[in-house]
Amino acid sequence: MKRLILALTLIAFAAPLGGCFETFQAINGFAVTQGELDGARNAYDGTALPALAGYARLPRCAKGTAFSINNRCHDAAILKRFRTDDVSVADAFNKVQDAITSGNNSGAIAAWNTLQTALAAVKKIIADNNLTAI
Amino acid sequence: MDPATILADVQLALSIGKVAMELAQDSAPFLTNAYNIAFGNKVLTEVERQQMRDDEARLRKAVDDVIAADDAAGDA
Repeated sequence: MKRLILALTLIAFAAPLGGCFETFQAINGFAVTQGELDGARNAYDGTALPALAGYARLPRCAKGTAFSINNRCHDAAILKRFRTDDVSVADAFNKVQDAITSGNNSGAIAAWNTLQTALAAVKKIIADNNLTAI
Repeated sequence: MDPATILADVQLALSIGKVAMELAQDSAPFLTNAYNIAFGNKVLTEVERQQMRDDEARLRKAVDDVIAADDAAGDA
């Protein structure tokens, strides 16, 4: 009987503790929700991806010239690097989505961290090449 | 300021305006979603999520087409 009471007590405490743990994870950014992923993905799609597409639409730079406000053109090598970094971001978003869909929170967190690295690379190529002026 | 300089400035302004309009058209659906998710507690439906993926694929294909054309053309 004592064991049964102990077991019931443990179960009674375990459920709220589980909830607390999830809240703790969320507060510390350790849980990735579908809403967070959708928000982040749409923010990327609405900022960096149109910049990439807009850069690609510009005519190709003449040899020895670079993009500027007065010379609006794309450099083939920079465009390719930008697209390569974009592929990494897209892959990372897809991996986070797969992990969330399958309920694999630790996998989602790992993929989310990979995503941060991929996003940093895109931010760097935009900043290094003055592409905010597109 | 001579007329040729004024004309060049107007042409530059028009080209920048055109690019800005195209960027806005590309950005609008995604940023509307992002805003509604962040501030309107919106939850995307699977149909909306698929639309987002289709829009992403359209933009990326346009970029890939340019890269392929650049590769085919060789050095500038």
